[in-house]
Amino acid sequence: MIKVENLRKEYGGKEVLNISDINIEKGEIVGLVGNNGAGKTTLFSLILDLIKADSGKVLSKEVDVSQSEDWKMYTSAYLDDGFLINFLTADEYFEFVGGLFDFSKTDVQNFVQQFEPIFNGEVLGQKKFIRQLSMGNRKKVGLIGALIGNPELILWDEPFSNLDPSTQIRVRNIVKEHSDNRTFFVSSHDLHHIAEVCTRIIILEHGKVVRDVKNSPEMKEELFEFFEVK
Amino acid sequence: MKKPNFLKHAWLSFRRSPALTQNILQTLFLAFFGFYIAVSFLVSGLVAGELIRDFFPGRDVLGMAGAFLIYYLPMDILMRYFLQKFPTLSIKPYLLLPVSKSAMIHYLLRRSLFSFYSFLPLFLTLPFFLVEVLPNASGIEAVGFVVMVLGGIVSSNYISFWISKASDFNNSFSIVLLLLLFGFLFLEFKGITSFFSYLESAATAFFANPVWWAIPIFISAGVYLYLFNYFKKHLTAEKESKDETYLQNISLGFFGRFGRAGRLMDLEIRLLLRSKRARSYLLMSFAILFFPLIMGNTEGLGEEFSYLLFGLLMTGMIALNHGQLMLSWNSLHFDLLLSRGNTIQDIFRAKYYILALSCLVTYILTLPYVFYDPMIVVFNTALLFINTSFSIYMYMALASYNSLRVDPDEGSSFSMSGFGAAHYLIGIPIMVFPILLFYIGKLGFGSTTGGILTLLVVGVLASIFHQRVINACVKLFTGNRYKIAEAFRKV
Repeated sequence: MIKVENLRKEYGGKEVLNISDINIEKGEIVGLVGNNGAGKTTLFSLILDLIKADSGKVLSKEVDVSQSEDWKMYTSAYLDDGFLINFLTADEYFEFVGGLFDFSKTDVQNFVQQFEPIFNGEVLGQKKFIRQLSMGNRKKVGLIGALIGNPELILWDEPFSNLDPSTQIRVRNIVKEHSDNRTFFVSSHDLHHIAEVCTRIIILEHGKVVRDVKNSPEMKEELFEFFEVK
Repeated sequence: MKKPNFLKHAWLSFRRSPALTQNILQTLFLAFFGFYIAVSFLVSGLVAGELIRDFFPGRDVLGMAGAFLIYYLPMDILMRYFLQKFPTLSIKPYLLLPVSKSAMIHYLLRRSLFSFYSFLPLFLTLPFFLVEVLPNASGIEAVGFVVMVLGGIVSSNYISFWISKASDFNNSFSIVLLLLLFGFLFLEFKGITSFFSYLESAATAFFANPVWWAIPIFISAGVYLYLFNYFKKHLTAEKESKDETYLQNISLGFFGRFGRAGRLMDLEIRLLLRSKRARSYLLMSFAILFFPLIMGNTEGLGEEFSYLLFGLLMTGMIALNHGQLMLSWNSLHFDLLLSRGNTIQDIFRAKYYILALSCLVTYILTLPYVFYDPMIVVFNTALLFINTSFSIYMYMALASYNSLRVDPDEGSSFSMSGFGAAHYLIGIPIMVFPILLFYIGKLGFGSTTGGILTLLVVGVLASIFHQRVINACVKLFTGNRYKIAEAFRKV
C-alpha cells in the first residue's frame, strides 16, 4: 500500500527525517511512536505530499505521490485543524467531504449517525460552525470526517490527545472495527492505546526508524521499556 | 495592582509582526501607498478653498467647508467600521494576570484613537486651516473649526468602535446609509435639493457659538463611558462566543450536482457569505454598482473612457476583490484541499467558474441602467467577457505564485495579511489592457462600435478557451505547491 524509499527531509540544514525503507501492506494497523521532534508529523506530511522531500520518495500503490493525484481518491487524513473547514457546521463538513465521493446527504447522515456516542449530542445537528467547537469536538469531527468516503488509507496524527478517556477508547474501537480491507497509520504518545490496537509498531527517534516490528506481548514490554526515563 | 507597559508590548507586537519582518516589499508598498494618500490629502486641503469658490460662487467658504465636514462624518464612521481594526482581543492575555482591568480598558479605548484613520482627516483639514481659516476667520470661528475637526475625529472613532464591537449593527444597514448619503450628494449636484445649505447654516452656527461645541464633546465622552462600562462587564477571559447564525439555515447545495468542482463552488459561496473579511469585500463590490449614478458623466475623462472604467469595475469588482487572493482564502483548510478527494484541477475550475459567475451576476444587476443610459449596458456587455476571460486568467496566474496567508475571519479588510504589492500592481494590466484594446479597435474600424465589437469578440473567444488556461495554471501551481502550501500554514 505505502512504500517509503530512502526518504530524507531537512529544515534549515538540520535533518529531521531519514528513512531508508518502510513497507506497509493493506490491512495493517500501524502505530507510529516517538518523542517530540522524532519526525512523525513530517513523515505523514510527506506521505500526503504536503511538503517536498529532499530526496527519496513515497509510493502509494506503487505510484510516487508527488507525481500523481490518484492517491487523493483513496487516502484520508487528520493531522491538525488544517483538515477542517472552520466556517462550516459539522454536518455541512461531513456532507462536503462525502460529496467529493458522490455520497448523498442522506448517505453521509446515516454513516456519521453511528458515531453519535462519540459526539455526545454536542456536534451533530448543532447550529454551530466548526470554529466555534471546542478543541476536543473539532478533533472528533476531523477523525470521523477522515472515515467518510471509504478511504483505503487513513492517517491520524495523535488521535487520542485532547479527548476524554471514554472517547479515547471509542476511537480505539473504531480503528479495530473499521480496519477490514483498509490501512490505518496512527501516531500517538499514548503507548497503551498503540499497544492495544496496532498490529505493527514503528518507533522513530531523531528522524530514524529504530524499531519496526509486529505487535506482540513481548513487543509491548519492549515498547514501554524503550520510553522508560533512566 | 501593577500596570504593565502596554505601549512597549504594542510596539513589540508591531515590530515582530510577520508582515513587517517577512515581507519588506509589501511594507514598503504600503508605506508608499500611505504617503501617496497623505500627500494627495495635503494638496486637496490646500486647494479646497479655491474649489469651493469655484463650485459654489458667492457662498461662505468656511460655512461650506463645515457643511462638508458634517456630511463627511457618517462616511468616516462607516469607513472606520469597514476598515479599522478595533483589537479588543489583544488584551486577552492580560486578563488573567494581576492587572487592573479598568487600566486595560482605558488603554484599549485610547489606543484606538491613534490610528491611520484618525490622522487622515488632519492631512486634509490642517492645510485648509492654515491657508483659509486662520487668515480669514475670526478667532472664535477658528477655534470652532478646530473643535469641529477634532470632535468629529474622536466621536467618529468611538462611534465606530461602538457599532463594530458593542452593538448589533447590521451590514445591510450600512448599505442603506451609504445609499442615502450618495443619494443626497447626487440630488444636490443635480440641483434638485439644497441639502447643503442647511448643513452650511448649521456649520456657521456651530463656528460662531461655543454653546454648540458641547455636542461633539458630549457625544465623545458619552460613547467612551458607555464603551468603558460595556467592556468592563463583557470583556472576560472566557472565549468570546458570539452567536454566529449568519445565513446558516440557507441551503447552498446547488452546484453539487456538477461534480467535485461544483462541490468546491458551493464551499466558496459559503466562504463568501460567512467569513467577515470576504463578506466586507463583497459589500464593497456591490457599492461599486452605484458608481455611474454618483459620478454622473465625468466629462473631463471623456465619455468612452469612463464607460470603460466603470464597466470594468462594475462587472469585475467581485472578481477583482475575491480573485486576487484566490487560493489565499482557503489558507486555513488548504491541506485538506490538497490531499482529499479532489484534484488541483478541480480547485482551479471551481475558482474560475465562481469568479465568472460573479461577473455575470453583477452584469445582470447593472442591466436596469438601460433606462438611465443604454450605453452603460452596451459597454458592460462587451466588458463582461473581458472580465470572464482576461481578468480572471490574470488572477489565476497570480494565484499560481501567490503565497500570502489570509484568515478570512479577520474583520478588517485592509489588514496587512494577504495584501501584497502584487495585488496593487495587478490592477494595472487588468484596467489598461481592455482600454487599450478598445482604442485599437476604435482606430482600426474608425468607430466606437468597432471598439466595442473588438472587445466583445476578443472577450468571447478568450472565454471559450478557459479550459486550456485552467490547465496551464494548474501546471504552474503544481510546480509551486509546496511553497504556497507552506506559506498558508504559517500563522
